[in-house]
Amino acid sequence: MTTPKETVSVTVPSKLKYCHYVSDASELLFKSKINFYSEELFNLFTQDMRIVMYELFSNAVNHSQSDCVTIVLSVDEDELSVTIKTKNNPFVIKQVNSYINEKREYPLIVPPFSNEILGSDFVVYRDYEYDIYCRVTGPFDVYFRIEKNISREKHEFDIPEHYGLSLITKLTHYTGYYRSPDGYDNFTIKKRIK
Amino acid sequence: MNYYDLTEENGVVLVDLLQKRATMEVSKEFKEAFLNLIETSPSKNFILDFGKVEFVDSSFLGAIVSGLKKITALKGDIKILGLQPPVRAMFELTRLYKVFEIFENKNDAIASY
Repeated sequence: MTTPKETVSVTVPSKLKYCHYVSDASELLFKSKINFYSEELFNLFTQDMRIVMYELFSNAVNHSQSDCVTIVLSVDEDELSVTIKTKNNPFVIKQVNSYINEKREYPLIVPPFSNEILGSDFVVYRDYEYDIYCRVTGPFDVYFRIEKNISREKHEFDIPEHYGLSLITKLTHYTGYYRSPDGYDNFTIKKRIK
Repeated sequence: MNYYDLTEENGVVLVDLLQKRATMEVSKEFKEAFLNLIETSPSKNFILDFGKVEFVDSSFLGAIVSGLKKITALKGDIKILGLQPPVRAMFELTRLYKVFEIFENKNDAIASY
C-alpha cells in the first residue's frame, strides 16, 4: 500500500529577504514529513534541498517580477515534489556557446514555443563535466536534463557565471517548467527520497 | 556596506569576506566593489578568504568568477581560502574547484604565488 501524498502550500512576498525563511521552513517540513533511514541520509538530503529551495526561490524573485511566490511541497514515501508558482515574466530559453571562441548571440526563446522547435534540445549550461539541455515538450512547457561529458580543459569553454539552474538540475531527478492556461509560471522539481 | 577587510602580505592582496551569508542580497554590490578593487589594486594576486562564510549561493559564485575573468585578463589570479563544508559543497557542485586553487592554510595560499 502506498502512502497518500501530503501537500503543503505557502505564499510569500516576492522579496529576497524571504529566501532563508523559505529554505529553513522547508527543512523543518522535510524533517516532520519524511522518514529517513539514518541521520546521515537526512543531512545529505537537507543539504541538497537547502541549495535547491534557495536557488528556486531566489531565481523566482529575481526573474519573475511577480508580486508573490507560491511554494507547493508534496511528499509521499518515494518522492518530494516542489512547485514554485509566479505570475508575470515567463521562463526564457537562453542558449550558451559551445566553445570559448564561439561568440554567437543566440536569440532568446520565449513561450509559446513554436511547433518547429517542439522536441528540440537547447544547451543552456556548460561546465567542465556537464551540459544541461532544455527540451521543449509543448508550446508552454520544457524540462531539463543533465548529461555528463568528457572533461573539458579550462581553455575550451567559457566558464559560466550563472549556476542556479545547473545546481537545481544536478541535485534533483526532474526539473521542468510549465506555463498554465491561467498565466501562472510553474517551476517543478522532484527528488527521490530513498 | 562593507563586504570585506583588506590586507596585503608579500605582495598578495588578502580579501577577508565578512558576510555569513554570501547571497543574492549582497552579490550585485559585492561584484561592483570587487571588480573596482581588481582594477585599482597595484597587485593582481588575490586571495579570497571564505572563513566567515557559512552559506554561498550561485549569484555570489558568479560574482567571483566574473572577478577571475577580469583578473586573468590582467595577468593576475584569485585563490580561495578557508571553505566551510556547505561552501565547499557549492564549489564542488559547480566544478569551480577546478577553476580556482583552494587552500586551507593562509601561508600555503600566499606561498603559491
